Amino acid sequence: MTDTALPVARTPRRSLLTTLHRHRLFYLLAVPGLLYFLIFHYLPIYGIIIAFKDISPFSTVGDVITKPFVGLKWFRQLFESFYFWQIMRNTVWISFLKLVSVFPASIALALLINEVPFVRLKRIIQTVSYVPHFFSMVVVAGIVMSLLTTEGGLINQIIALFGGEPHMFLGDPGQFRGILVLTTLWQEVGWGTILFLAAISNIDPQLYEAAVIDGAGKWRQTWHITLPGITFVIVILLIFRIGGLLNAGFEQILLLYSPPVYEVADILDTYVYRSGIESLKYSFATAVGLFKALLAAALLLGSNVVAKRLGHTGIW
Amino acid sequence: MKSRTLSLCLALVLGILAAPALFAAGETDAGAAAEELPEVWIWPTMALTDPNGSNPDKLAEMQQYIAERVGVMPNAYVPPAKDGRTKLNLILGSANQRLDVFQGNWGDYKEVALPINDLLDQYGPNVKRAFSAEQWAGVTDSEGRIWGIPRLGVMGHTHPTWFNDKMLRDLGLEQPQTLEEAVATFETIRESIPDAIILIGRLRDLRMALVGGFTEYGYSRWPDAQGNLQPPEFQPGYRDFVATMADWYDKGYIFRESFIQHDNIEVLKTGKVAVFIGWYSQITIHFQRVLLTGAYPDLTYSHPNGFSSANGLVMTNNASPYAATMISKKSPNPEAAMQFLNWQYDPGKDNVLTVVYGIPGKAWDWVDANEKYYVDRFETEAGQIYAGEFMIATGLGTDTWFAPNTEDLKRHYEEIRDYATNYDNGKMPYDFDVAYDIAAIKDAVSAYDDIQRMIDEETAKFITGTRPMTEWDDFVASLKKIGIDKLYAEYTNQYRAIKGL
Repeated sequence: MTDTALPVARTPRRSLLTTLHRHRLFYLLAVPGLLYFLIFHYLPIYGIIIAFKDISPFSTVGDVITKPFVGLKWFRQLFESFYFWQIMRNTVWISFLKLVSVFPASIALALLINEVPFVRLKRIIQTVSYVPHFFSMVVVAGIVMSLLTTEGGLINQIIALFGGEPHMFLGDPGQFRGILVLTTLWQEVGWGTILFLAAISNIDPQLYEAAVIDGAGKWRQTWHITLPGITFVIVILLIFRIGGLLNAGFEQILLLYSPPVYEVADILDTYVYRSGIESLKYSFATAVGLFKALLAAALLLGSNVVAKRLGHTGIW
Repeated sequence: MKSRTLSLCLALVLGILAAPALFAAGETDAGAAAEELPEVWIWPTMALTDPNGSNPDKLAEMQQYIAERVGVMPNAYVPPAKDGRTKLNLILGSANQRLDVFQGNWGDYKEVALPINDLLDQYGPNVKRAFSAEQWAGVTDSEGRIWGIPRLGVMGHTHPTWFNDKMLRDLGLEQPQTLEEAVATFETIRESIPDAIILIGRLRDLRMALVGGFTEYGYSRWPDAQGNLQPPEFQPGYRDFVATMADWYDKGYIFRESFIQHDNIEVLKTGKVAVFIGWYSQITIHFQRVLLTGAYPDLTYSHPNGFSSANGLVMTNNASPYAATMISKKSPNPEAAMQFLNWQYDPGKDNVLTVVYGIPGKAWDWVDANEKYYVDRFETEAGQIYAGEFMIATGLGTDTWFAPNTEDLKRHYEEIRDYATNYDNGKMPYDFDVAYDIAAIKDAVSAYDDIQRMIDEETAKFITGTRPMTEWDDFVASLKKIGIDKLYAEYTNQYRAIKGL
């Protein structure tokens, strides 16, 4: 049997320098972008050493380099805090509750919006659902407080209407996390639909037409075409969200919490705000930031590996 | 063609990159040409009379006015609406940006502030005269270095107990003069107005306003038999204070949301507040403005003087020694900065009014030139005025000197004038004249913030009934476990060092 394979046409090898020279204008055009990332994203990484030194807000760049190392002093201070485990538990738990409520709710809302037959109505619903995302957290906290106050708050008035006693929701450790989750759900569920709706719009309409011919109803179409069609977006967003699991909503909690609910509301960021930023302990704040970043990276990489092992697309 | 387009793009990109450098070069040249009088750069901390800042012409006019009289050219930064302190710190840490005078807690700024003992002696007689020895003690460290000009010091006006005049009048009751009378009066009010409440601004307000009614030293560190400082929470009588508050809360006397986020003014507007315990300006400024709308006729609040109990005065005077006006270590001309400050503290009072409102006679004038207290403003139109950027003599040194002749501010200033330095209405904190090095204490006791959180959290729980008072001893044991004894050993060491004991 003769080898019938056609000879592969080989491109003559060029040296890197020849290639660079040949496309020099393109490479030069890329230089500003590369410089931007180098100067604003990579060089500042040197700031991590602040976490291992005793740096004040007034220290110069020279001080950051020349001041002596203090080892893991700031990390020890964090881990030795009486409240460390409580703070970690609160951070992860509040974030997890928000993830498991807002994320699926956004998918469900995207699916529902997709089924609205009138384009104008669809756009109105989308716009209305996006609006709360643009509210400042101070405004949102004000709305929450005025809704929940025992002095004429709408919720307590409804409770009173049915003969109940006014309840101090924002001071009740049993209710506080629920309020955080519901507030986030209201504010972010609409905004969260954008990428899902974009992914849904990319699904081949012929698949739906074929499904209709095969007798599939709306539910079956959603289950067998729409959801699988956006799985890659769901997985990628989920990986990113898991990576951000230690960001439990600093502004929201800072504006709503108080001593009676610290045990369920104090998170890493609020702790750092009180103990680091307010006291100008920038090295401590940097150490906690680094600790968070490392955990976030581990979560991101871990969830990426899990997603790939389950046969989905990862982010790498 | 393709190559030409690429060349154009490249030229554009390089042009954009080069532009800032060219502009920067231009700025440097222009800046160098303007140096004549010594400049003083200020970081303003007073709320400007126009939030958008001064009209540029008015600002220039003020600069000229001051330059002619003091021989310095004042300049002011415009602090951002959000995160101003971060920007201040960045400027203080910057090698290029100039800043001469700023305010903050001097303990936090020792690294960048200049001790001003010599400057005060040479250029600051008015500044020295404006404050009491106690106030100067608050900005002086154990080595005698004065780190700034006092801003507050000990205040006798911040936490009186305010009674609802309308309720008292309607029910024919006298304003209580003692804590025992106050309880009886409040209970009488509740018989007629069952939803009358005691509104508390924050937990700290409650402590400052009432702990003195239950303890010897008020809400203050105190000495045990060996002379070691102890926390206010361990003081004999403090547990009774918490138990009494818990009882009041349980009976519905205390507004239920007092210890969570709430809006005092909205609650005051309900007319149900028989007693208000909170920071004084909630009444003297914020509620005063509500009253001026005319929507709440007669709903006024006033406080007794010398409010006391069987344990003596009920209020604790507020020792706040750390807030100070400082001169930056990197100021190229600290003498000019002190001269400008000294000019503002001139006892004739005209200068301080000038930096607040503008050119005298044109922007403002005394209502009575002999009395020199109430001030009429003539220029008030937003966008057309000097907004007060050069006012750096803020605080008790000058707050008692004048009052704007407007109904929305008069009362506030009168309250400060009458009570700020009148210490007869509250207990003096035991260590009121000692300024601790808090940074050093925090460095020695890493649990400092945990201890503060535990005290606030658990006290609120005891009062609101979330935690029973039977667990008070467990709370004390928990505080000891996380290091409160170590913390107070540090306080004691510093106290002895500063007092020379």
